[in-house]
Amino acid sequence: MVLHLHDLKYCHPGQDHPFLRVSDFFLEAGERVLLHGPSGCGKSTLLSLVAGIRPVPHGSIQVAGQAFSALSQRRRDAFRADHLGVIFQAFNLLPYLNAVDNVTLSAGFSKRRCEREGARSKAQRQQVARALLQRLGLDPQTSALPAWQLSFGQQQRVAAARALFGKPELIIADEPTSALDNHSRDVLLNLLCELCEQSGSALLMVSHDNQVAGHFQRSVSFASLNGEGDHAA
Amino acid sequence: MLPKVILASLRTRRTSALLIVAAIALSVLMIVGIDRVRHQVRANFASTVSGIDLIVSARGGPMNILLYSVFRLSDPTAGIRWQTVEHLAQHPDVKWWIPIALGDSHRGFPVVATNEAYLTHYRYGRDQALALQQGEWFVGADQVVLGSAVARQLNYQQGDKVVLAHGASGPAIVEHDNHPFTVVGVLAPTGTPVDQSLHISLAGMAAIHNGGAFLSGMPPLPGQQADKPDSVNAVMLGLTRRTAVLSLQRELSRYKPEPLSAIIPGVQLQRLWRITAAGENALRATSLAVLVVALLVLVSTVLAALEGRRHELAVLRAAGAGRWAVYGIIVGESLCLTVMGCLLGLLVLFVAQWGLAPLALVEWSLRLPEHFLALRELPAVAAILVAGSLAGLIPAEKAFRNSLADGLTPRN
Repeated sequence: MVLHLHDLKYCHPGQDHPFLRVSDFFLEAGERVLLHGPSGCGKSTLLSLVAGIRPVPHGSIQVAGQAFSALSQRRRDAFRADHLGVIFQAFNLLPYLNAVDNVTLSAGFSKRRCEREGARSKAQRQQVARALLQRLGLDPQTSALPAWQLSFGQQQRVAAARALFGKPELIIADEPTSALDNHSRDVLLNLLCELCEQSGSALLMVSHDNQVAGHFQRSVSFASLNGEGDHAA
Repeated sequence: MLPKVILASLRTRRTSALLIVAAIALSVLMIVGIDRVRHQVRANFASTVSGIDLIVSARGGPMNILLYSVFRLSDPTAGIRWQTVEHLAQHPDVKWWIPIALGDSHRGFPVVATNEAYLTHYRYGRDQALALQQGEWFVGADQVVLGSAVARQLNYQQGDKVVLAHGASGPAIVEHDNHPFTVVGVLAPTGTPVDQSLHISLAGMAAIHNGGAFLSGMPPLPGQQADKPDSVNAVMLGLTRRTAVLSLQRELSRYKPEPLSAIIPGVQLQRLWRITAAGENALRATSLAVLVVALLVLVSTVLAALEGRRHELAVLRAAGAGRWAVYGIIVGESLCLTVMGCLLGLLVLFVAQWGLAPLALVEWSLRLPEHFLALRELPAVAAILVAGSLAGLIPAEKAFRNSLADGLTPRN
């Protein structure tokens, strides 16, 4: 299992009724799972917990066999750098860096990721990044532009390349295609799934859009996962 | 990689970054500039008296004696008799002696009556002797040698006629216009009050006061020789051995024929600096206040920018940045701004020094420093850098907390 949520509860600050309540949820290694549900139901909050950015108040999260949620904030941050790739809905990039530098950003925080790409030097890392970007359809000229000059679709590809760099065990994606048209959406998801398969990464994606379920091995509705949670908010 | 992120991110906020840099530069300019002027003024004063072991004058306040005899900043005390001067000249501990008679001026510049010992024995700075830029030292009673600033500001040349006035400064009440002096030489700049003085012979001084009162108020004796006036205001002494300074000082304070004061210029200067320390501290406090304001500007500007940087920080956090990386970026940014501020401040100071140096030497007889950064100033600059980095801790903690609250979805 690459991800295992157990008895997870999360309350918004100042409320005692849990907003999230997940009794058991897991992903096998390399598995691609879609978590779908309406906007504002708590999917993003769940991903923040899985990414280890927010502390887990109750329950446990295991990532790649590690009791992730029991680690200190500092070690969670280091663990995320080593084992997780993250793709946001938007604003994935540092606008003032070019695409290649954005991709190698996670490499700067994780030796393990560089080693898994066999990229010890800076030049090697950039080469790996350029190759990944090329696989995702960004030519070298475009990859050298500052990120703010890229189109939205290009930015999401760069984000995908960064998440994939270093072949992390798990990639989590928060509505990465919600601002794309159907065609671009399918192209990006095809590429993402294909590259995940190649690097052996599991993919957990949340979306309000159930149409993309075809790209995934399993599709879970957020409502069924968050059984006893109160999402009146 | 962090330096690259810091610099690239700062470049996107150029305007506010430049304002912070300017504020810090201004405070560095004040702090270092005030320290340099203070240091330089002290060095200049010390340089002026560097060769003098004792100054002997009629009994009076030691500070007053120092200020009038060397710096011409105060009124001279009553004269001492020529017999006393001769007694000093023959004293076994005395290597050289320079008589100084004051009291006249020319268009605001003091006139010093002395002899050729002034040219041969007076030392300033690091054992430097006076040098004539043009012409020669006076011989006759109607000749005058100008300090470089006098010659330059009044635009006098060799051969020009100069009329002296009685009284140290201000509008001349009595002009000695029946006894004009001829400029025979101009001294090279020294960066000491010598530059601001006119030098005549003791005989010249006696001549212009002939018929009036001589310095001490006593009439000249019949048959008195030209270079032996009846009194002078002070005598600068160089001793054969420096160790004799204290014993000679004690001996002169018990001198029977008339009451004398003998002062050690270096000791008096130290006392003077203790007196001026309060004013210097007020200046330093002001420049520190400017630094505090600059650092507050830094903190508030970096803090205010954080709101617009939530996405930036969320991206970094998602890519694996932990608390220390976030701290590194924000504190590094503050340090970077402070470093640039320091460099800019020092550079402006350096250029100002370079540009003002000729003017300062001529107008104020002040030698400006020529360095970019002295070893002695390093602690102050280092303290400013540390303060700038520490100031970054506040926004750094705030940035990290923002990122915890935002999770993966930064608010806008």
